[in-house]
Amino acid sequence: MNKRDLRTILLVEDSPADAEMALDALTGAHLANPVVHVEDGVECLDYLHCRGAFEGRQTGDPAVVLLDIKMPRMNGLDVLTQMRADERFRRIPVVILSSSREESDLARSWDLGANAYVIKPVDVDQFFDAVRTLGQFWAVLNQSPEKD
Amino acid sequence: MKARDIANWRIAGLLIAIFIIVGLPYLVTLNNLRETQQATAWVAHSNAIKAVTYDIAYLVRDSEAATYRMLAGDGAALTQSRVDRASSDVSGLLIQLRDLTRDNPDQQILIGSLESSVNGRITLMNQAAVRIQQGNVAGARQSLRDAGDLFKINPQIASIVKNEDVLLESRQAASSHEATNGRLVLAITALAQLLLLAIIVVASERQIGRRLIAETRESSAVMRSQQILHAVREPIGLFDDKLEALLVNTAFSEMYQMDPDEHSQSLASIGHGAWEDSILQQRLKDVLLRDRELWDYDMIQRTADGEDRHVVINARQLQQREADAPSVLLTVSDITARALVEQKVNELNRQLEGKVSQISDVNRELEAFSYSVSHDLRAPLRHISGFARKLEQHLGEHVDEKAAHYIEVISSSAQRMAQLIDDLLVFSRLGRGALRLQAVDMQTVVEESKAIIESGVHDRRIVWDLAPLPMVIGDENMLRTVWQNLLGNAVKYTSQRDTATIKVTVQQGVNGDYEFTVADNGAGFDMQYADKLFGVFQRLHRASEFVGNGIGLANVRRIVGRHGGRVWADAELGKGANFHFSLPATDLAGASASTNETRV
Repeated sequence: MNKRDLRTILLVEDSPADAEMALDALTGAHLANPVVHVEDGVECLDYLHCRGAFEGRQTGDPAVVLLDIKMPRMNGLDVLTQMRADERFRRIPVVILSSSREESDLARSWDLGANAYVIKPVDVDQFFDAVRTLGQFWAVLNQSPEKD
Repeated sequence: MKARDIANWRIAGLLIAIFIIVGLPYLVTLNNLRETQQATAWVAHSNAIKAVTYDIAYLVRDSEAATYRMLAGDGAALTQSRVDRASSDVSGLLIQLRDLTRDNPDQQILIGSLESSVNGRITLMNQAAVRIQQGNVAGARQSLRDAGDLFKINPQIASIVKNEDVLLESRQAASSHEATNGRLVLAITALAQLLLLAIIVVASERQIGRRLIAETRESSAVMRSQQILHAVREPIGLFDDKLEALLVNTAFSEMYQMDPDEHSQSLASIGHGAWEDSILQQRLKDVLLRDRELWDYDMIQRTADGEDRHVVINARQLQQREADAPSVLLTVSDITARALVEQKVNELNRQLEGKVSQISDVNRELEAFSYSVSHDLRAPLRHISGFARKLEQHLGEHVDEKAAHYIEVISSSAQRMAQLIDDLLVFSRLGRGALRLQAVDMQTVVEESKAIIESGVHDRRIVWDLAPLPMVIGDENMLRTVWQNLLGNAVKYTSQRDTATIKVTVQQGVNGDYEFTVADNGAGFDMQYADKLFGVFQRLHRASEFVGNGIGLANVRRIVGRHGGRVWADAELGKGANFHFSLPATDLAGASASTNETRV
């Protein structure tokens, strides 16, 4: 296994129920990549910067960030804005995973540089399919440039 | 050329004319008079010469006659003195004659000759006298005979007289010639006088006529401007440098109830204190003294009728001639009515702004609401269906038929509610979002919608009859939603027919409106419930007959309404339905150029 396979999938989701379902789905995808779950935007940035609760974590950027929009403290769009403004995190793939079909959310996400926007389906089968597919695609199929 | 120059030239011309008319005849007459006097003088002169000449001849002959008497023996003293008179008087007469003819050399020569003859004769006469005294009668007689033979004086006398006559004649001829010339000149100047007088009369007539016309014109212009001044509905007044009224128009005197007969009322006393405003008075003085124009001075005047009038005052200095004291022209615009209307408009605007802000508040709330719905309402439903699945998995083999059924109902209800939420959000968005107006080819939109719908149905026989459709102005996505709903409904409600017929037609009304119709041969509906057709979540059929949640036609009505059209339907239960919607006529070229953003 090379280094790339060890990259984490970072799930940023405040709703425990959604997180549980997403984690189930990712588990069902049989991915080798570890999945890290953080509960809001601040924790997400802490993880990326290896600070706070994540000080001294195993280095390396996530293969993909699955980012919810509506979260307490710092929302997903703010996280995305900061990531795209930072030279180190500019190329990390970000997939917005949201309940919202609002045109304004879609437009802002794409404008800020999201790599994909997926609406969480209410239908459970569709939801599992969607998350599984995302995990497989971004963690396995997608190639990001080597750092530096 | 300046008017003053013209006047100078005119005066010079008049002076010349006066000289010609008065002076020239005077000079000519004077000259004639002088000529006549001269002629008279010449006659007298000639007569004097002739008289003296004759005197000389007479004296000589008389002396000779006296000498003959003495010879005949008359020794009277008187005779003796007659004899002596010739020698004593003739020389004086000759000097006199010479003096008279000094200017005439011919006469002088003749006089010279006469003198010598006369002297000769007198000498011989004296010799005869001496001889008589000596008694030598024969000698005396011889001397007298010699005197008559040797010294003839008659030819000289005749020549002198003739010469004088000729001279007089020539002078009289010259004089009469001069007189003729004078008459001619007089006649010519008389003619010239007549001509000049005629010219002057004609010119002054013309001048007077011109002046009369100008005066008439001027007075009618003055009258016109007076009439205009009085006809103007705005009060206008002209005030002198002491702010006393010079002239006011009817509107002014009516508005301030001025007594038209009273003259030079001061502005401050007009209109019962309407003009007492000290700032205004100061500004008017500035207008008068410093020639500062007063622009749109806004004030409230309480006029004689006790009403507060909102007026705008304009004033400017007028100075007709440089020497005149300046006056001030005041115009008053009564904008009370306008101000009232403006106030009303402002009030309405404020109300409108209030309404708009209310509406935008409502819109913001709606936005927030639908955002919240979008994010927060769906998540629990997802959890319900997700965890129902997890429960099913957790129970594993212990799930009996009933439990499976319950889980299925929970799941599908969550699903359905999610659908309802989605539909509501779409409906809400259709009402709020901006219309992106552009030229839309209805033909293409209908073809595309038909293709999408057909891809979703299987084992159906559908006969489509699509008329050629026009270009319209509208939001293409919204209009596509309309067609998808109407065509989708037509397909859905004809599902129980062996062969479905769906017909799309269009017709243009007199005012340019398009009316589109979708007709089908499906289930139709009872017209009794037609008013419920376009309500949100209103259905005329059971879900078990035809699936659907009753949002489609509500969306259609909202979209068509936002395009300024209307939608209606007619049908007969079991025989099919006709859905119509209209779109207002739009200027295709003009509207397609700009994308209108209309937001409620």
